[in-house]
Amino acid sequence: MCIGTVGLAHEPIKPIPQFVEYDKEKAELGKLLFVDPRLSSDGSVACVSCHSFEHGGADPRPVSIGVRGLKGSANAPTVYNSYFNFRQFWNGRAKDLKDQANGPIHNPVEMDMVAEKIEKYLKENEYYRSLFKKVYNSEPKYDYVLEAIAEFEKALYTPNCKFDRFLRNEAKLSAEEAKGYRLFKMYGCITCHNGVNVGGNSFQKFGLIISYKWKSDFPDRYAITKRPEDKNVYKVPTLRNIELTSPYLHDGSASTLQEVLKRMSYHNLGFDLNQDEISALIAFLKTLTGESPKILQQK
Amino acid sequence: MKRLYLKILAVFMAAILGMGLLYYQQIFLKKKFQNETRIENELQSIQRDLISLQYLALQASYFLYFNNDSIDEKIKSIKRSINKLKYDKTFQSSDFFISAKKFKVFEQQFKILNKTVIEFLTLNASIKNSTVYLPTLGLKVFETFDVSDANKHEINQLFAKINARVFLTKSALDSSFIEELKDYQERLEKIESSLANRKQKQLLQTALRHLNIFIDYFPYFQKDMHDIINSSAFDALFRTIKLFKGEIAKNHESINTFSQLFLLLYLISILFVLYFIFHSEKENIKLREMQEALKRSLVTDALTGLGNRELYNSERHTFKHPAMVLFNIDKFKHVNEFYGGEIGDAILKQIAERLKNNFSEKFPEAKFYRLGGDDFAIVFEFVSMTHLEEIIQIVLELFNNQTFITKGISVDITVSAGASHANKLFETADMALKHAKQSKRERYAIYNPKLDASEKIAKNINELKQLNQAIENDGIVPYFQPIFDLETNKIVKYESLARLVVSEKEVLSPFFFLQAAKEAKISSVITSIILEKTLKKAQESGESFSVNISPDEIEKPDDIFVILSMLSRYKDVSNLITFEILESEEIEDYDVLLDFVKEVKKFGCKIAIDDFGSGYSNFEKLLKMEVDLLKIDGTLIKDIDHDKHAEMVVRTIRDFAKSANINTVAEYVHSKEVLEKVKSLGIEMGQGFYLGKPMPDIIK
Repeated sequence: MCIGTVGLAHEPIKPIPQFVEYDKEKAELGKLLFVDPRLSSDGSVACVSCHSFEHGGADPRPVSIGVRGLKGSANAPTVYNSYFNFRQFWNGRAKDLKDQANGPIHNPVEMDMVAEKIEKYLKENEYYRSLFKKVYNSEPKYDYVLEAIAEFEKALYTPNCKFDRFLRNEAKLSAEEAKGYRLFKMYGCITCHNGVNVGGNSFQKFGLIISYKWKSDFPDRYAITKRPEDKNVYKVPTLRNIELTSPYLHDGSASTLQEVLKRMSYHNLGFDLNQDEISALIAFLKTLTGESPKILQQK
Repeated sequence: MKRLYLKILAVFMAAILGMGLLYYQQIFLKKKFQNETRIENELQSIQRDLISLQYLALQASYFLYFNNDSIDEKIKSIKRSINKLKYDKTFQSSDFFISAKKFKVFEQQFKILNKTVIEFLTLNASIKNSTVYLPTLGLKVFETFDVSDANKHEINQLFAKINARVFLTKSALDSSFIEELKDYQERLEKIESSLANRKQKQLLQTALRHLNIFIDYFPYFQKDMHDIINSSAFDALFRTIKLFKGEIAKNHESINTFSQLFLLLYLISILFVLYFIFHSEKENIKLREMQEALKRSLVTDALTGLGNRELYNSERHTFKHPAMVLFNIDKFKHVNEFYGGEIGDAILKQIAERLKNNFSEKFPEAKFYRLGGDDFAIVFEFVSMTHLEEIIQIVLELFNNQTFITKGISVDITVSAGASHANKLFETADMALKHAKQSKRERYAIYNPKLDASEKIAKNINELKQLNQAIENDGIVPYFQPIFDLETNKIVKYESLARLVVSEKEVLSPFFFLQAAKEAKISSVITSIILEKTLKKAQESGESFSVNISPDEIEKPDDIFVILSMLSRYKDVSNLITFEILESEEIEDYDVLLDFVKEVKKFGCKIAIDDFGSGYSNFEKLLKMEVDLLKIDGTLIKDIDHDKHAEMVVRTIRDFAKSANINTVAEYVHSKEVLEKVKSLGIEMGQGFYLGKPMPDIIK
């Protein structure tokens, strides 16, 4: 037990905290705003449209579809545990959740909204007015909208997955799962997928060994830095709840875990995994599925 | 009063202001120090985080497994600190202008470092993975190539070389082996292109890709690592802290100056308070001096400058065992009457001067007072009776028979002294003085309990009792002292002197009972007894007699009547009687006296003035009384044989008497020398112990 604890202390993956402190009132208001499609220009898209609670906070479609049926260029990353990411978006252009929330709202192919319109709508809505009065002691303001959404997203954490309990020495991994984790470390997945979110804390290149096709509308680092070496460089996505968040990769091109593992090993390791290895890795990845966020269980 | 209130108010306000300023300074300094500490802590926290960041970057490169979260945490912590300081009012104030400016440089440098670290993490992952993969792939060569394969040996050799160089390059962070790696890469590529087996080809391709990644990325990785370790953000932060500390020191210096100014103000205010205290103390001293002067004037005799009775009363307690010599001028009343008050005052002044001049040196602890009239007192610590008497002697020598010359007039005075060291100092000294005055023989007396008033009263009562008894038992008898004609040496007359016969052995002279008799108002009775007995003796002997009579004994008409009726009873011998009237200042009503003289002269009685020359005789009145005889004061006679002064007075009296056709009698002729002198001066008659003592009967 003691040796186990000492051994585990060096694991590069850390469990999701069991309790994350957040402002309940703000988060509840944020939850309401998160699911309100009237925050989009044609009233058809809400945050939840692409960050589905049924799909681990991610979009089951390869690329997101915004207002007026417009297609985006990337698969929406999960909103769950996004608070623990070092940056937001695939290319990390937002420094935090509040910054992130501002993006899709203004994106013409996502919600296509402007702050004034949202404020106008909220001010005209008696219920929202009373809520903002209660939470912010103020009439609705766009900045508060972003803050409330960010606070709600902060509450979207999924603790107590099997692997976390294993890390806390509360559970034992099955032989297959343990093998998967060993392979995970052995093949160097851990080099990029580490920390609380098993990823989400550095930028890495997809197709490092065997390059991946590049499209100019990919939301990669290149879109920001314009440096050739930043092409197809993305924020390493979290592997938490990966079982629920198919399809995978920035373009949603891999629909199963099997497929995404093959793709990753091929492009970033330069070789193919055999079926045993894939099965073991899948078994390990499934231990990363945590509890549904508490804030969603209420009401 | 209003001014005082204003002053108090001003001082109060100043105190409040001072306290307020001190309080403000305290608060100000406290807040300042808190702010400075906060900023410094924040800067140092950044420094710590920066070092951690460096360390974590090294860790990330060294350890295969690494949690990138820890690096992100450090970066976020530093960003939070930067934000805090960016919006810190104190740090952005003009006080820290220089360090805040430097801090902005640091912020820019940190942004660069941040970017470098993020890039480093990307490169690091690739480098690490490839570094690990190349040996793994090397191992796969054994599975993929047959033992017989011609290339196997070279491939193995190349992998070994590649792995060794990669290991060296990464561990040493030295890119100088990259060229070698490129050479191996080329050789491996050659083998790869010659291969036909897809699996073998693929293995080498993968290995080549990894090697390519390493070769391509390592220079950037190395640069990033170098930039992280040698980031100018460190230097900028270090300089910021140094500058900040410098600015703190500078600020503290100005605070110090400020404090010194405060101290100066404080000192000035203390000086002010001191000045005011000094000033008010000076005022107090002035007031006290005035008070002292006033007090002195109350206790000082204005005429002589000596202390008065008030001062004596307050000062007598300063002595442990005080002794007093009290003295006054004999018959000072006459000096005043004779020469006028001005001269009298001048004499008093001179006495005071002489006292001060002659006593202060010898007896510095002695104090002098003028207790009233001409009563002077010397008070000093009692040492011994000898000492006391010594002082009395000095006093007597100083003033007795001294001539005071004032405004061209010379006045001779004598003084008498009374001394005491008893409880009731003044009262007992006064008693002694009175005793001395009465005694005539003694110039001074020292109080002893025998002189005590109570005893005296007892004595008086006793004397009075004896006196009354004597009167009843015929104990009052005349003694007769012969008066000689100095030319013929024959007795011409006897002075009849009253005696009180207590017993056969004890016969008292009037000295012992006269005062008591006078006080009991029975002296006139004694006088009438003596007169009757003398008249009888005159009848018996036919000799002439003189009888003493005091002016106060004939004040009442009753008393005169008693005498006159007696004279009428002895009409036949009344012409043999001479009345000796005491020449005294006590004579208040001369008319009564003149009346008496007129009446007794009708009986042929003669009138003599007793003790002439001792008082201050009114010659005109004497002439009016048609005096027959002058009895020259014995005190003038007793020393006449050697006292030129006395002689002169006696000559004057003689001359006056001769010209007024009055006979003179010298009293107190106690020696042959005196007798001769008196004779030579032409005094007609004489009496005294040398010539004949008073006897119960006449000599014949």
